[in-house]
Amino acid sequence: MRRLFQPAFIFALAILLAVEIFLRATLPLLDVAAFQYGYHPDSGFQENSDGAVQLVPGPLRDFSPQQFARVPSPGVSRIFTLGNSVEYWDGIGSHVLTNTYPARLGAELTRRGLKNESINLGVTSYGLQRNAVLLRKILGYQPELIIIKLDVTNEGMDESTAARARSFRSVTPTDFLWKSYLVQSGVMFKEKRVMDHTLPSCVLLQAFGQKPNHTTNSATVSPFNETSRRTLDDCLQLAREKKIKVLLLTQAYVTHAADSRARVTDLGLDEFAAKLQGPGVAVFSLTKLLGDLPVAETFTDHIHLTRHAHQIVAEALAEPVGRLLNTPLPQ
Amino acid sequence: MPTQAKLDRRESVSYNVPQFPAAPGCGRADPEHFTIMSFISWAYALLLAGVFLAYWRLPWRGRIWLLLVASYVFYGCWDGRFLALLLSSTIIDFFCGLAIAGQRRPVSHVFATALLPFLWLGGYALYPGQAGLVGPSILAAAGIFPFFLTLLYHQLWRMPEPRQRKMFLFLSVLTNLGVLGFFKYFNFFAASLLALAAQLGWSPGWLLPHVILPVGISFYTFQSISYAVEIYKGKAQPARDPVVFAAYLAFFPQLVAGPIERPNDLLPQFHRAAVWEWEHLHRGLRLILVGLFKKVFVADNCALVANYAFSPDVKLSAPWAILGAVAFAFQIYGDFSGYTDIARGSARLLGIHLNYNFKFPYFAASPSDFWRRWHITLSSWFRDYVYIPLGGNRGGAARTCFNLWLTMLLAGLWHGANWTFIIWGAYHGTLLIFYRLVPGLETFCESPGWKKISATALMFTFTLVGWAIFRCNTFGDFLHWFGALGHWHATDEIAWWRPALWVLFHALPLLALQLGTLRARDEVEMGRWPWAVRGGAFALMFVAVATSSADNVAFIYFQF
Repeated sequence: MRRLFQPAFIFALAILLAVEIFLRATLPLLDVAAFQYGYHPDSGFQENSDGAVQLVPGPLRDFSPQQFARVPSPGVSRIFTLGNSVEYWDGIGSHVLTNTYPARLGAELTRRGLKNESINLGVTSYGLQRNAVLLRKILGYQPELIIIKLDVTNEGMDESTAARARSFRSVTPTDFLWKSYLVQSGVMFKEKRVMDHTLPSCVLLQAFGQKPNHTTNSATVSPFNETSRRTLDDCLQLAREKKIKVLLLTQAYVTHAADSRARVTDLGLDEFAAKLQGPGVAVFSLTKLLGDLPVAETFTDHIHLTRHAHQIVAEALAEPVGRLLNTPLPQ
Repeated sequence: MPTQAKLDRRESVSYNVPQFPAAPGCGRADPEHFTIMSFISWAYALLLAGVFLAYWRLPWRGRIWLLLVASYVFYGCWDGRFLALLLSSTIIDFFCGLAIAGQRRPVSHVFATALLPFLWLGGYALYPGQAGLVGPSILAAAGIFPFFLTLLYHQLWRMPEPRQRKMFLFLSVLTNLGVLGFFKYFNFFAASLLALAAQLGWSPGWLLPHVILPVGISFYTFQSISYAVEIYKGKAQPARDPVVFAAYLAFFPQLVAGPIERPNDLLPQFHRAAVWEWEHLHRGLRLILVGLFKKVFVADNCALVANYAFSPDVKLSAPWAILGAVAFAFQIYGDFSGYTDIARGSARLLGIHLNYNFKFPYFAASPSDFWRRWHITLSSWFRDYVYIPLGGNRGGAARTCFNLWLTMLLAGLWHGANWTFIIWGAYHGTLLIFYRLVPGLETFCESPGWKKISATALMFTFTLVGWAIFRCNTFGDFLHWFGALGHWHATDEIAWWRPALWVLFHALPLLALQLGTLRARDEVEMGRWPWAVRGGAFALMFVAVATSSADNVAFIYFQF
């Protein structure tokens, strides 16, 4: 055995074991839980004893820090926006919450005399499935309106997160590495503290995101997969049950034609969302809003908006959002 | 590797993964199979562990059969049909090798052996679900092969002796080059000819077949050529046992991407049973760990930046263009040298030594120094079998320069059927000539101190330009990259320094490892380090691999 295990090997093993034991003893439970379940409902939400709820960057849920009361003040309309990096970023690699359209929407509604509280829940790489987990959580905070951004880009990321959760629970030997807290926290550290802070979203999107499938721009083909469509139906059903209004905001995409000229398209999302319109559910198309504006002034890449575009979106949304908030739901 | 990373990245961090289009008469090849038995897959780990455990318990003969079966399973996991091609090459080279050495085998043996590819393909076609994958034309070709080879073999033996040896050498070399040329370059030259014809206003109304490129064909055909030539030169003895030769040619750790071994280095190791030593295990595992570190941690992560910077639709600025080239330099080094380390480690676990392929290439001070450090087995192959036969440096300065340039051009073409590879080869040939012609430049490069450091920096810059040519899909893309070098004041560019930190984060540990082993032959030689430092390095490398774990991202050199 002495010849099998050399001192260097034993030392390496001892280091790894020591770190593993240390992490198991010290790592917050929520970190592990988030990792284990792919998306823990409470991750990123901190409820204080004074009734305040703080949004903090949590494991696998990198919120923009915000604060609101658990119960909204009387007469104040609470609006949550569920989205992804489009809502999180406000330009190329820039993250200033007050520049994003949900924050500017709040300001615009206030300017129009509507008391409101607009909270931006956009998390990079989130798709419908993970936003549905968020939606269930925020229903308890009594929103009057939820803006759900529809975007086909992150379905793959949603699926891989779910696959990570499956791998974690798996007993297959090839998944054993996921049982290690050292590997888990190493992956989390690298993804959230190194990758997200060094690689711009355009690089990450090119590497890990799904490119919009241009063939989905058809009346007969749904832009979402079956799971996402079912998830969206469930979300709308839940909102209806809780008498919460919903605005479906459809993403716009920059595509390049054969002549290299950029054009803005909805990839079939507008038509898909229009079918879901009904009492308490409105649709707003970013393609219709931004389609005629110069792409260079409104988009930083094929999907993300410039600060200028965030302002345009906020101003344009104020009208339908105000109308939706003022329209009573049918009994 | 954990499944998450596989799901996250398998579509993304690969570079120029070969395409496997449908081939008329061949059915459809599945690109997913390409990564089934990748060196960083669990399937490969299981295969290697199984072979390792069985290998040391078997007698010599059993080991050879085990290696042969394992190698064919390994190769067959990509596409079982191409085992017939490997078998055909093996059969031709085996009998040619013997014939070059003056050893004749009965034609019945030749015929019976040459039936094997046909039997394999026939069995493959009869296997349920595979029937449509082997076309009648291919079956017919495999059916004719035994008759053709036997007849040719018989005829060549009737020639006078000096000519006879030469003809068997030609048969071996031409067969290998023919196979390589057809499978690797047919599409390229056919497409180029069609484009030329279209320019001249003639558009052929028929469609050319689209030929599938078999994995590793460039490597095993070159190894076969080396085998025949070395026997012809009298420097090597032929294998007398077809099973030994088949195992030698198909040896799975080095089958798909080298190192390209010489018969005198590798074949004798198949003729005797290796003796168990603990060093085989220790060194083999160390090589595999370092290889995984280079591939999974360094290469696949640098690829994220390189792939973005070299996307044709990305608007580049000068910092991004440079960053992309640096990222690709570390990607390709980590990828290929990582592969080589895993190959050498896998072979070493079986007591078999494979040759070094890299020796700190980015520390080279001149182009000739670079080619003594980069893909050593390929550059020495071209030196011995192309450059020297062309006349080497024996025919005056002009002739030497031409020989150098042509050799590098062919080396570029070897990498793939694409104009960018050819231009890359020509570029390196020009660099070699430039350093040779400028008086005092080579002496400057060899001088110690600041001269050597500045020469190394200059050579690294030249290498980066070369990698940009290599990485671009078309020459137009390269011009796009090159043009970006003039854009230093772009106002709307995405910050480049953050991705530069990402590249540094992954390249610096490799550079640290290299600096720590600079006096040794490669990064795996840590023997002089204190055991505690070595242990720490192992632990760090394990964590680096486990937390990067881009499972099953194809190795770049698998396409060559």
